Amino acid sequence: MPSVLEEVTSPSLDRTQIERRVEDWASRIDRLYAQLEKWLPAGWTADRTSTIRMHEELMRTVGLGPRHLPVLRLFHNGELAGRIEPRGLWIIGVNGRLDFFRGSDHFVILDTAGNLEPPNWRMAPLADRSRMSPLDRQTFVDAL
Amino acid sequence: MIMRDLSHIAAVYLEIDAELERQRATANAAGDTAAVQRIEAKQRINDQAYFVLCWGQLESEIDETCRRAIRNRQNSGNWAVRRGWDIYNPNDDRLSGLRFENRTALVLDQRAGSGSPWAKVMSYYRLRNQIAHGTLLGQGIDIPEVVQDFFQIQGLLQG
Repeated sequence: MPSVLEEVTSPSLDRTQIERRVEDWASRIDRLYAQLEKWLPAGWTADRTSTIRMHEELMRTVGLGPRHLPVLRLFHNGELAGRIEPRGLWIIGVNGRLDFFRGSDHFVILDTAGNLEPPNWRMAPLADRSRMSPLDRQTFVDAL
Repeated sequence: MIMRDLSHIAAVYLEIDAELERQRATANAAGDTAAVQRIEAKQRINDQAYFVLCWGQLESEIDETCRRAIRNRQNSGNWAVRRGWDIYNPNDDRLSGLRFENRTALVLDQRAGSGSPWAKVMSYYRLRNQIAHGTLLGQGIDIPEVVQDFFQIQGLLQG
């Protein structure tokens, strides 16, 4: 399975593969959100009622329509306190990125696994990528 | 230490990208979708400009490792080792006209298959050519991750 780098530099594009990649991205996001919801400490809740539109260039190139992906909104004692939203799937160097906003803090959540492989989620402050670490319960709770 | 500027380039990139992210967040909070798209387009251009700068560091490293490989083999007292290398001039700017693919094949195994360091370098090279020859990408580039990848490739080059 090619990486994003190989997909983007490939002379041929396969609509079926692009569709499969979009489905996989939506599925990975769904499973990530489910995990994060389980890790929420007391006083925190989440919902997925808000969405964001995904219509990346490779989707347009093969004539695939837009897809709406859920945003994970985070509430502390009932007040909106943060959100996690998908930023992009085809980003060279990673296999998808989400942005995590908490107050004035901005974190990136990256899947560094290969295409269509089990995800390897990692997280770091946007401005300090040297602090990149695996996304686990502790790093998530620390960010909250 | 050919890639001495790579970390510095990455640090400057992060500074600029953080400012663009700040502008994007402000536009997003205001619900200004058109402004968000304009800022994202700026980010993609910035990604590609910095990618080409980073690529130059890796290309220089590959060239220098290639020169070292040629000198090492040419210094062999064994003609059986030396004879395939004597035709190259390591002091020539263009390494006796060796194409980049061939320079890379002298320092990485080109038969290592898909996903190998050689295959990665070739994919990055195609990307570099696409950008440098005028066709900009519609995708973003995660420059910090690419820089990490370049350092890993550097560690695998065999002189």
